[in-house]
Amino acid sequence: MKFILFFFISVTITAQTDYLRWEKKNSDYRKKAIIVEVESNNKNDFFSFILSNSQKVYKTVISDVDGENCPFYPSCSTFYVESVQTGGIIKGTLMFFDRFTRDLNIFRDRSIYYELPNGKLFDPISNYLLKPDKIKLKFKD
Amino acid sequence: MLYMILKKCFFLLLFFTSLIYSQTNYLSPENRKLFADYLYNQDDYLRAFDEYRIYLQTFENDTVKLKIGQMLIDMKRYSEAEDYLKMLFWGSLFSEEAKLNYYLIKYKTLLPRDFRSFTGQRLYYPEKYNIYVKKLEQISYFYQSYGNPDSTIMFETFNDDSLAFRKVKEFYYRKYYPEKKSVHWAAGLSAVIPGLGKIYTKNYSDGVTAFIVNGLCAYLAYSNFNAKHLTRGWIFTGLSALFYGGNIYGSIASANIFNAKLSLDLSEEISNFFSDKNFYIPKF
Repeated sequence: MKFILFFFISVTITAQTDYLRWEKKNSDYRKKAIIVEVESNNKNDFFSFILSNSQKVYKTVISDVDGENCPFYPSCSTFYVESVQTGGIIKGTLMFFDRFTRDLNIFRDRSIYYELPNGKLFDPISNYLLKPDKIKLKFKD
Repeated sequence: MLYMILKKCFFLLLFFTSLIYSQTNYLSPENRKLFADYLYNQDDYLRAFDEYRIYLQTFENDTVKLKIGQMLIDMKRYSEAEDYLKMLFWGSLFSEEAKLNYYLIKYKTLLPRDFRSFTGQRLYYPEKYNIYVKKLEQISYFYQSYGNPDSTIMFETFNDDSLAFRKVKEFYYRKYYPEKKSVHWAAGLSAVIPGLGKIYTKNYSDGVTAFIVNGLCAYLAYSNFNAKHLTRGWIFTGLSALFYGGNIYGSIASANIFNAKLSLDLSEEISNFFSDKNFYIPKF
């Protein structure tokens, strides 16, 4: 009888697997990073060097303190650096001022952009290179 | 006494009920088919397919084979669907229907150009349903980025259905004669009045913002020069020039994006419309 009871109880205890379902888990609420590879012939010239370093200073001193407020992806500062790297200083600067005007628009029509899961509006550099075949209207992971 | 009789009755009832109940074979092929038909009507194709397959191990049934073919097409399991449909190509009442569905598979897998070269071979061609194959041929033009189809043949093929005719006509004109925005016009308009090029490409709020920003910078430059603040005046002049140039550049880009969006929206609309209509292929 004792053996049966022992057997029964031990089987019952080992059969309980619900603790696996209810055990404590460390939640990770971090959003998945979105990385877009820019198809471009990057020009690592003098202006790109100055701008990318200025962006690092801006990110550390201002952006990190102020928070990530740009509604677009990539952000305006990244857009400027990448557009200068892609199209040169003149084209890149024009692209940036156009982007900055769109950033200033408080009545922004969100429907004209593709909205990313993190709420940012997808607005890649490739759309502004004046090459219709390079335009990306949707974000593909 | 009464208690004994009731007890006997109860056990007898229990015995006979369980006896009768056990005589019913719920897993018989006929019952499987009935259940599979029910699942098919509920669009539960995955389970219906399993039941039909077991049923076919016992009975030969061309209707079931055709149904399986159609279900597998819907589940995008094209090679399996082809196998089931090919069983019906010879000596079956549903030969033509199976061939038509075979063409639907070819349409879905060979889009856009190769489908018409396939139909040109007339391999297993469904003569009875050739109008549907012609419709598929015409629809395939919409998925092609080059060349113009003969509009007369296209409209004539869909002439039997008023909605289809109207939509095909609309898609045809939108695809081959799109209302694109001119990049030169966008640039020119923005050069005359900042922001007008963006309004032309239907980016209304961006256009108004560009106008305000340009106007504000120009006004600040002008007022600073008037007040003899030359440094500030030149800073705002520079900013004004950059915003002005950026706006012209942005208007050109905006026209390009507008045109790209136009063709993307149309291709999505075409794809959704013809998929919803099962490419005008009837379900048998």
